[in-house]
Amino acid sequence: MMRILRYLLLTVIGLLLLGTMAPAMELSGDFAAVLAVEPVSIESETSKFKFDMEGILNLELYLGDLSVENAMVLSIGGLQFQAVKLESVLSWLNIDDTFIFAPNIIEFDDDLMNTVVAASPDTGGIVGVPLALFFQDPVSQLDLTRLLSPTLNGPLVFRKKIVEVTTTATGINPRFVILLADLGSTQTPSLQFGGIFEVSGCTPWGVGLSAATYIGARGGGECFGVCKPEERLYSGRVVEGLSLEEEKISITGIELGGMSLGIHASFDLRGSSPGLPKLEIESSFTWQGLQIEQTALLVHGLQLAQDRLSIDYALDDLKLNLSLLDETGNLSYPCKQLKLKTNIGRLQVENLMAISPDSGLYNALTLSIVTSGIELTSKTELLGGGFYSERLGLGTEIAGITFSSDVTFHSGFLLRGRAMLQVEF
Amino acid sequence: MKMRLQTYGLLLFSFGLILLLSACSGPQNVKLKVGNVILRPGERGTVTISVINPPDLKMIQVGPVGKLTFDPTVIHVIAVRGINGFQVLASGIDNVAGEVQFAAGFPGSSIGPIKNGWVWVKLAIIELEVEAVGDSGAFCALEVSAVDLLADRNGREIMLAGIIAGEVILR
Repeated sequence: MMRILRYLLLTVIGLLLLGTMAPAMELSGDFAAVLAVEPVSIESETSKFKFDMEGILNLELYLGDLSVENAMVLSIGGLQFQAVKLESVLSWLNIDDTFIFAPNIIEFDDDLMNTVVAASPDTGGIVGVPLALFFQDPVSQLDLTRLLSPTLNGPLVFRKKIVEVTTTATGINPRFVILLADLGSTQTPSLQFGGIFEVSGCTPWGVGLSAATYIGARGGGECFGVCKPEERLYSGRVVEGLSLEEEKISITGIELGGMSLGIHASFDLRGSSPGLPKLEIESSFTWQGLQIEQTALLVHGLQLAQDRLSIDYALDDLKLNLSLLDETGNLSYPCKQLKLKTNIGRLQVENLMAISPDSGLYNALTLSIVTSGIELTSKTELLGGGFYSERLGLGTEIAGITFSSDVTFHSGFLLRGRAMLQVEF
Repeated sequence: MKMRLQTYGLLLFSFGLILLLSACSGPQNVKLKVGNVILRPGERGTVTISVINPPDLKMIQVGPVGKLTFDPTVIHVIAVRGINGFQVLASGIDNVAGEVQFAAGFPGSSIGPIKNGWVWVKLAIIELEVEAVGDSGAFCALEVSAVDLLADRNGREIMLAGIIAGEVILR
């Protein structure tokens, strides 16, 4: 722990020294301390608590066209994540260079569930887990910490480097991303390379075009530590071998009879013969004050796999969105979702109502109000028509320190509590 | 002005409805659903078993009383696997009687509705790898006779509102 504190202190002093050496330099950042607790047992009202505590430090140093960002996550086990990003902006060239240090690396797919496809070290029971379950927070925050903590036993080592170069030349915007990841263990590193080469631009008629080639890399993301929001990256994930993996092509902004069209095609280039494209066709238009959007997903040789219809309506403070989803391919839209957002005086109201076959009603009602400088929020969820969860939150700012806390009750028990203090400088 | 009043009237009605539903706090209409699959003779495929409206589901056990039944002259079950975080702790496959039993759990966590652009309240937890052994045109139902245990993250029993059978069709 002392070693970690020394390291933290040295980093801060180092950046402060740099800041004082050059008067043009500017240092800013924020520090957050987060405490999450959950009851050990719900058998009695006097349960002991399990808890997780962490500190998140973000530092940003600006020196003209160069900036240095440093993000660190410290937990009970010590320093579990560090990211250093160097960004330089020239007149026509932008270079971002990011280094990630962590004891582990978790790779997840860009599918609906953000499914884990690889973990290093792989201590079992992690591959195949849907991270969306934890990212969207229907479970306790300590669950993911429990799941990933066996992978944190090793020292902090280099895990990933991302070099992103973007430039603008005569209306064409090339973007090169070089990825280098260590997918091995701390004892036996296994470095893998990958790259994403993207070209985008716009025709004189306003049609946007982009093409991205993935070599030794695929869409998706990687996360580190216990995969907290600060520890997630969505810049693509490196895969073994340096072969063509994916090709993504987008055409947007096609105007046709008052309708705007967009086409996104994704080709899987693995194997001897490139697979048929996954095609997403978006269309949108306005009719009688209604904003209507349709998104069709075609797979396996243009077979309709999913169709979404979204209708937006706004009147003063009231915003309504009706979404219909069809996964049967016959446009019967069995799943329906209605979102409502409005203000009644100082009270902000959001309601999400979803109905699908066999499941009945899902409803989430969020109310928030600011009174005497304190923000109070409540979120009530119904599942299958019955009560599922209630989250109560409180947030305020005193003398430049932001304080927020919330407790979540599920049907018949306390799931977890959380408190956070944050200061910006 | 009239439209605005109508809008707020609708809003108040919605609140009243939601409060009424919240006060009911009844069961969450939890169901087990076996999926469908179409195969060619000799082909292998997968059938998923999903839970609809999973309220912090952690454990499921079909057996020793309950079982998933199928016609062994139409398909054989090759493997039972856990998906979406679920791990099969024990399983038994009888391709003579046409029965499968299993126990599965999600170590360290539980599942609930996932909100990822859309609210997904149906989550697959078990995958059966099946092989079509019957002739073209044959079909069979995949029925779960009973669920012995369905428990949440605190070990409390979850009341099951229904079981929806699946089907395998050979084309």
